[in-house]
Amino acid sequence: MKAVGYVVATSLEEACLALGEGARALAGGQMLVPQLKAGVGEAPSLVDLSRLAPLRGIEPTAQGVRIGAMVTHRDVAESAEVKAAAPVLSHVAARLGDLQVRNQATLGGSLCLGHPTIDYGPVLVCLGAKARLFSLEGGRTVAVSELLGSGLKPGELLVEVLVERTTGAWSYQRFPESGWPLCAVCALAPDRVVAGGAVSGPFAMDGSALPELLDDQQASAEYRAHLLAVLRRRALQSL
Amino acid sequence: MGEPWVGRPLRRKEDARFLKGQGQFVADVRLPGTLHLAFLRSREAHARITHLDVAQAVSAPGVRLVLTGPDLASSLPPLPVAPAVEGMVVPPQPVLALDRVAYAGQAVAAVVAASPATAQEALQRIEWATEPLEPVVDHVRAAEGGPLVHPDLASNVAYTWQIAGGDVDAAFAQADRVVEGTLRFQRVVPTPMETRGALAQFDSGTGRLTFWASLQRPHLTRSLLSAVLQIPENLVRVIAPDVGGGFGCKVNFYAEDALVGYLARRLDSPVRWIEGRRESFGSTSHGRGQVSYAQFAVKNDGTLLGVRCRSLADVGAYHQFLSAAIPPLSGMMMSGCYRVPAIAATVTGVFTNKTPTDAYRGAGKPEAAYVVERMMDKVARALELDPVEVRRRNFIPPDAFPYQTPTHLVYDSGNYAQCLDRALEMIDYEGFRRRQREARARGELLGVGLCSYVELAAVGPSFIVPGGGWEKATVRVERSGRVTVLTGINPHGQGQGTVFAQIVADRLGVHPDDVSVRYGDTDLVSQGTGTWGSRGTTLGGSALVMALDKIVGKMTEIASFQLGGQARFESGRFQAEQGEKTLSEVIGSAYDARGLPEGMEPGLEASAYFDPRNFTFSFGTHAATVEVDPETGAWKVLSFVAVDDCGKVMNPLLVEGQLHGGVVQGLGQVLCEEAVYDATGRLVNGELGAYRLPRADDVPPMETALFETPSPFNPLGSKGVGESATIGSTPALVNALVDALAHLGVEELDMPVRPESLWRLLREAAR
Repeated sequence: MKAVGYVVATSLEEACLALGEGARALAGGQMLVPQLKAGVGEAPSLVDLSRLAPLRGIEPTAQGVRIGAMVTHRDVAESAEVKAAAPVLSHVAARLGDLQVRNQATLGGSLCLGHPTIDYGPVLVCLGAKARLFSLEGGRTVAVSELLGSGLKPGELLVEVLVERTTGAWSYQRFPESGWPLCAVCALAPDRVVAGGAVSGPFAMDGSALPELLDDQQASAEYRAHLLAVLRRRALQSL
Repeated sequence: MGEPWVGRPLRRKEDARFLKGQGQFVADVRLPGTLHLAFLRSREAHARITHLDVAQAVSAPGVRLVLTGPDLASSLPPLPVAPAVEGMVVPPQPVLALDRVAYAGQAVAAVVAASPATAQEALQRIEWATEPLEPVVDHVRAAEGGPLVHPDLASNVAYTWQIAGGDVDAAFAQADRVVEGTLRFQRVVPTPMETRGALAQFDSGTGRLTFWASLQRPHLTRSLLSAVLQIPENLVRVIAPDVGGGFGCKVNFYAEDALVGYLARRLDSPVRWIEGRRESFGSTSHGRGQVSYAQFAVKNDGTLLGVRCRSLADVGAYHQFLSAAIPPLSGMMMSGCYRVPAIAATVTGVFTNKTPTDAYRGAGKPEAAYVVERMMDKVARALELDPVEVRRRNFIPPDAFPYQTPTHLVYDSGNYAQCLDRALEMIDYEGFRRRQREARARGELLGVGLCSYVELAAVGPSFIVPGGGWEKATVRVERSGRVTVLTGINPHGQGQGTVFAQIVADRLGVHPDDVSVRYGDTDLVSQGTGTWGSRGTTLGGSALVMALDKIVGKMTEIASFQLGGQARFESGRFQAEQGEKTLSEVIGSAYDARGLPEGMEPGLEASAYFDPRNFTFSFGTHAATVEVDPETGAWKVLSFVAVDDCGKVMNPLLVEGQLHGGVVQGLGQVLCEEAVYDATGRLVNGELGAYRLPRADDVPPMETALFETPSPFNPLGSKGVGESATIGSTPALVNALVDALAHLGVEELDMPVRPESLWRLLREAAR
């Protein structure tokens, strides 16, 4: 890995300033650091977000729960507040990567690196979760689906994710059962189904035509479409 | 004397320091003033180098030297290749490419700089251009003609090796049926946990070269460094510190080894190269890569009459030092566990524009077992017989050993049915067949598969193994009563640091903790043949026993002399009619040099070389049950049973560990492992993110059992187990998958068996 500049941000403003100048945000480093080591992508400098208090912690809200962007997968998995508000989210967080990765990787890092196969995608979109963003021009709140679709603007930072309480039955089905999913489906009672893993962003499976699916070395689009139909049926059956 | 130490499931003495992070691997060896070597490697599989300008790299700060192929042509010869197959064609492999690259990953230029980062940055400043040449990717097509890997050669055929015994034509003429099959054993990447690496230091005063590297066979590296660098062998010291796995890919002598040694002398500074993981995918040899066309001539009752097999092995762009010896092993092992009256096997090595292939855990023997054992299932299906029955009918019976195969091998000892019976019992074969029938009625897919294998182990007798296959041991009984063993094998996880201590403890009546087993330094251990070919315990241990016999003989002579009558050594004491002497009394006499028989030298140190008269033939039966999801093609192993007989077992815990590891490695080949090349000859999954290895949660429930049929060809009666489970597991798993689908008409499966391909086969079958 090439030597890079390194800033430990102590305020949101400082972080956004660095991001505006082309720095990359360093959260848990579980995807970014291996990418940089492998020479994939560039980072003239890194801005370390670990000291930013607004990005930390999990708190109950009137409607559900807020989760700071720097919260690790393990903390999402073990949080009583998350379990109470959105049990499907705890279920999925507890199965991401392995224990060492879960101790280090963060919710925000996972959402902002925009990898199409992240498990959080279909779950948070299915839950209708919102993302609060901060920039020097001010803040905005967008649906997680929008964040995953169009990403952050330059100089923008994900602060927290807001999840509304769901009390109904849920199901999360993925293929394969471990490792990066070829595709995954999250279902909430009575009949809301969101698919992920198979395209650049999660999409609702509401009976309309499927978007164009990934077609790569891992699996053909045809197979992914078949798997999605199977997973959707299995998810709905288990509700 | 209490219970013998040999046979006990002792934990490895070696483990504590690894668990505490105290291991010392080549990258941990630091010398002041070390320079760092990095390579510019070809991304193209086949191209002519039209332009190569290193001026910008040479002038970069911190850069000491930049070299290209032509710079080295007069100072370093092509890499050495042993003439393992008669008549083989050997295109010279330069240390750095000359005017042409023949595979992606081949080194084109080398930079030596003050730090690894500086060296890497300087690589970016090398300007070069290539003109594409047509790549040869598929070795089966390459054998038939078309573009050439080496344009100055007549064809892509590297060698043709043949073996035959018995009247094959008559066997096929008499057959009721001839069952045919095409078996593909895909190319895989060895991926030991530690990549390769080397560090060299030259002492210009004494003319001595010290070379540290991650190696399985340090003495071979010593000989070849000496030959290539023209430094007398007694001035070359090779040290293999802790080695983080090898699986066969660290036996070879590579271009980087030659260059690290050369540069240390030329620059009069220590020079170090540590292979990167991505780099390793192109620069370290791959394994397997063989396609076989088999014909089995059988009678209607399943009796085997004859076997014909023609195999094409993917050599890659160049031979490695001993790589041509490997694919022929698959032809030699074509008899499997069976009495086959006539066999004719041909193995053709074919060049391709890909990373060279070489040994990989099992080396030729998994290829043979995959052919024989998948064919045995095909025979059973063709004749509508149970695969168990077909195997049983053809097993070489226990009273037929030593058994001469038509392929000129002599199997030492065996009891194949015993392992099969036990495996069937452990996997509950009959019960599973019932469950399978019930499951099928519900549309569920269950399968059970077997593999009865025999392994050529303890490689091997010097009359067959090029350069000698013996092993050496030295035993020093010290004044303190502690014992040091120097062994020429080079364990890197196999555990002979513990096993040899057990052997010494039994023979000398000391505690295993009093025994220090040392290896991996050619100045400490003068000669050796290394750890590969399931040989460490059997050959290294036999040499150890011979050296111990000499020591015990000498001590007995001393005791007899002092007691005035013939003494016997038992339970740590020398006993004669006239009295007894303790071990420490005799050791004391040997070093005080008092009370020794006239003319006897002081001291207690002995060395021995063991050269076996034959290989050993470990064997066993592996069995697997699997379930396939008919909707998605996903499959999982429900249970796996490994019943193995590796002769006399020294340490059952370590044997079990070898079996567990080997089964998972074999499962990896069935489940996910494959070096995937695109049409241009680039390795498309050349990094760990894309090259899927088996993971902890892929490991199936596994049970093992051991039988002990001793080998008559060595004093320990042991046979070797390092490679057994990669040989037994792969065919058992694929046979189980075929068994799950065969009633739907699906019989042809290739590895890795991906869910998507199963789904497609199931969809085809349903139409």
